[in-house]
Amino acid sequence: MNAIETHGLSRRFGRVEALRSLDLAVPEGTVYALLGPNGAGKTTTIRLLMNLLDPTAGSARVLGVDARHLGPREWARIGYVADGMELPDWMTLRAFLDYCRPLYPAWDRDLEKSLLTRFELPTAQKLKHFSRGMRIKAALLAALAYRPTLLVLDEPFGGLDPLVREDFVRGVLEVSALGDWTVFLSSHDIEEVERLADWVAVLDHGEQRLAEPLDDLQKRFRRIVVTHSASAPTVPQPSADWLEYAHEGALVRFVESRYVAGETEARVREIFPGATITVRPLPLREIYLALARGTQSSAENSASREAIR
Amino acid sequence: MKGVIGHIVKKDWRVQWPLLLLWWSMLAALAFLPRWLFGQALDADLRDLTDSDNLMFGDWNIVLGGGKLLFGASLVVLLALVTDVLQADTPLGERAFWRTRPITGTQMFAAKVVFCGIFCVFIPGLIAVAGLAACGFSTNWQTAFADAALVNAGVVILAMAMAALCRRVLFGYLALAPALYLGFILLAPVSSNIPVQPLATLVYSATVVASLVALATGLAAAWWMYAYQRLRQGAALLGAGLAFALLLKTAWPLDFSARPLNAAQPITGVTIRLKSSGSLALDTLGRSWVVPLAKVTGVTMQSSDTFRPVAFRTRVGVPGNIIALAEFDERQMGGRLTLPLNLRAALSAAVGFPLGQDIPLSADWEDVPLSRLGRPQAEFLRHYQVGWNGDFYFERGRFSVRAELPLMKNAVAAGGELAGITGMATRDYHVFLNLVVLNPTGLYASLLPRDPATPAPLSIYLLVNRARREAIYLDDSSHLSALAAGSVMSTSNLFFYANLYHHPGTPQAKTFTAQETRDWLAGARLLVLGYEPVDFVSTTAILDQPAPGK
Repeated sequence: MNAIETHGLSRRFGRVEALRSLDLAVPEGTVYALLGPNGAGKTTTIRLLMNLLDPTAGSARVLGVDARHLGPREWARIGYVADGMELPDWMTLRAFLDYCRPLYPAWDRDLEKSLLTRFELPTAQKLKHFSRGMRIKAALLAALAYRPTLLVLDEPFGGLDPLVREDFVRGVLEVSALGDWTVFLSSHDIEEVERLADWVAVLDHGEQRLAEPLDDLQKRFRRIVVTHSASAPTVPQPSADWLEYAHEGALVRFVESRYVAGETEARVREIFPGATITVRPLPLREIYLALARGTQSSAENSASREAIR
Repeated sequence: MKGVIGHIVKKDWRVQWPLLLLWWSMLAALAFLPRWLFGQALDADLRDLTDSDNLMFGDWNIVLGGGKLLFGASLVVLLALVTDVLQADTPLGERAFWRTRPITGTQMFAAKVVFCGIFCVFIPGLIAVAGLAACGFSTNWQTAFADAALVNAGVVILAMAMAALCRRVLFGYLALAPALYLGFILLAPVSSNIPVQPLATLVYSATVVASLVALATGLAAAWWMYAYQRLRQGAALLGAGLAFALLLKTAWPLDFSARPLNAAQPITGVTIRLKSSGSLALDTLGRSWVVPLAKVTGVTMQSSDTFRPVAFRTRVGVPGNIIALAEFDERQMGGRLTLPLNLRAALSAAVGFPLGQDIPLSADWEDVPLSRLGRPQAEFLRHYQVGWNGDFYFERGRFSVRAELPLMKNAVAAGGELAGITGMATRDYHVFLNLVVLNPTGLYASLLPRDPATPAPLSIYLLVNRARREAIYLDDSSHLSALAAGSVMSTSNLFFYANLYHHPGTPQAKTFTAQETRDWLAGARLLVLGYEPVDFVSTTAILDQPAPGK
């Protein structure tokens, strides 16, 4: 069962197509990260899922319900935190929690207390006097305390200092480990996503570039360096699976996007006989950058888009 | 659902209570201002008030001016309050906190309605009643409450609609100015016509219908925004509804506050006569029109009945051929035909002696438009013997004395017993007569044997000196302004709600031109005459001198 599903989800703002035919399936119990540069359509996607925007085309289901018809029953199971989210600023944190608590039958006072302690938030202070990081933590607290089955975080790390970010990530990790929580988050903070996510989807200019488990992604992407004793032969047409292909004298470097242990090395040896081949796994950041650059450099080459899927 | 609504109402109360208290304080000050002012007048030595050096009256005017400012300020506070309450949980915007909580749009809308209903409509109504009670008011609290509640409900609903359609508080504030103006156009006549203004029942009916449509539309638009968050559709709904309301106000045909016209009976013993009184040339959209005018006179009216025009149908034609038909109702008549025919005779009958010439009440109607002719048509008709006649429909009504209140001795010149009527003169040309009755229960109970809880919807006030067989007509400012137009005496509505609920226990402020001596006033009594419609009658009148033909 998927916590979130979208089919051909699209949204247009005037002439700008912010999201084009997005097909997502977020399995229950996973931490699913939506990556992409600014303007990629991440926030639009989340607002469509949260019924804060209407789709121009396509559909989305959240917890089995059409996103346009999310009701109190579903909202009681969804925790939503977004950067810049409006909070009742005139309230103290205590009053804010008092306001939220009766809305959720499953509100867990013990969890609330524990999160309060962990986040070190002053309950007597008004929200309008909170720093940005404190506001995010307060919003997260109010979104976690009722143990939602789906936690949706839109750019939660934006502008947070490392300490606050650490608190935040730990908080999410801890609660997601408590049960079968599904966490769906958007971010361009790749390091944090790598720590949190089980699944990754990449959006760029409103289009979905990939969507797969992080482990699979990291398995199929490798940095390959080919070293010749003399000048390496020129490859007339590098494989579409090779991203960031660079040939400098005796050295050829690229990112293989469909790496299969043994097979890939054999194929490279056929092309570069006698060369030394070094294969190195890539952190998510480098995969993301390779994808982004690959997309940019081959914007006119649609074949490469297929390659990275 | 109730739990969620109450929860949101409590939340809004926690943030808005200071503003609410401020607003209620302003309303209370407004409600109790008349009581304080009249108290000041009663405590003063009235002889001093005629002294040119005395500043009492100047102070009074300053306070009244301040009261009007306070009224305006209270309106601003109310609008800000409603806007803030709605914008705290705006239906628009993707960042609104409540939209991702287990709260439906309908629940949020209901919470806002409950909050505004309790704190901005119900409680202010109670404050208005309390203010009247402090002024000696004892009976007509339902009307006072309904009026205050209706006025506030109208303002609140329009403000809710505008606030629900705005993405930001600031936009909400900016949108309030046109909304308020529109609301004033739609709602003000309803408020000032409570109780029903008997001289313009069709206008009243149209206003009530238009207001209900406008308010229902406002509520519907606000609900739509909360339920569906569709700005264009919400704005279109509100715009269409308000346009429809304005259309209804100008074109609503059914007078549900009057009896049907087809019940009209022929008038007996009364002759209505039309006399030519010139013509009116109009230029409309490039076309020239001629409107022959007539003067309507009830020449043989001797009864105690009055005849209030409701509608008339005039015909113009040459022998055997009707050239033009014109139908008028109250709306087309505008403010010209507001005095009932035979008013002087009816009032004389109620008072018990013929009223003197000092009362400028005319039983005639001047400048009654007979029809509208194109200029070529009018020129053509000049060469013919043209006949004019009309069927007139009236509401027959009578005045009776509802209360007769003695002016205390030396009312103007000196203070005296409490629970009297105090007149106060200034040094200027105008005399301001402030009639105050602070204790109606003991002194006047015996004078009000019949249903004192229902004040006459059309009350006419006469200061009557029976010994001299003279009376002064005091205009009630809650009536049509046309009643006062051209009259020697005028009134001013100084105390907002206070003098809309006249009965002997409510302070009244009247202004009229000084014509009488204090001695005359000392022997006078105040009569409150109430109007009761009896039935409908009709008659046909023929123009004496055909015009514009030969």
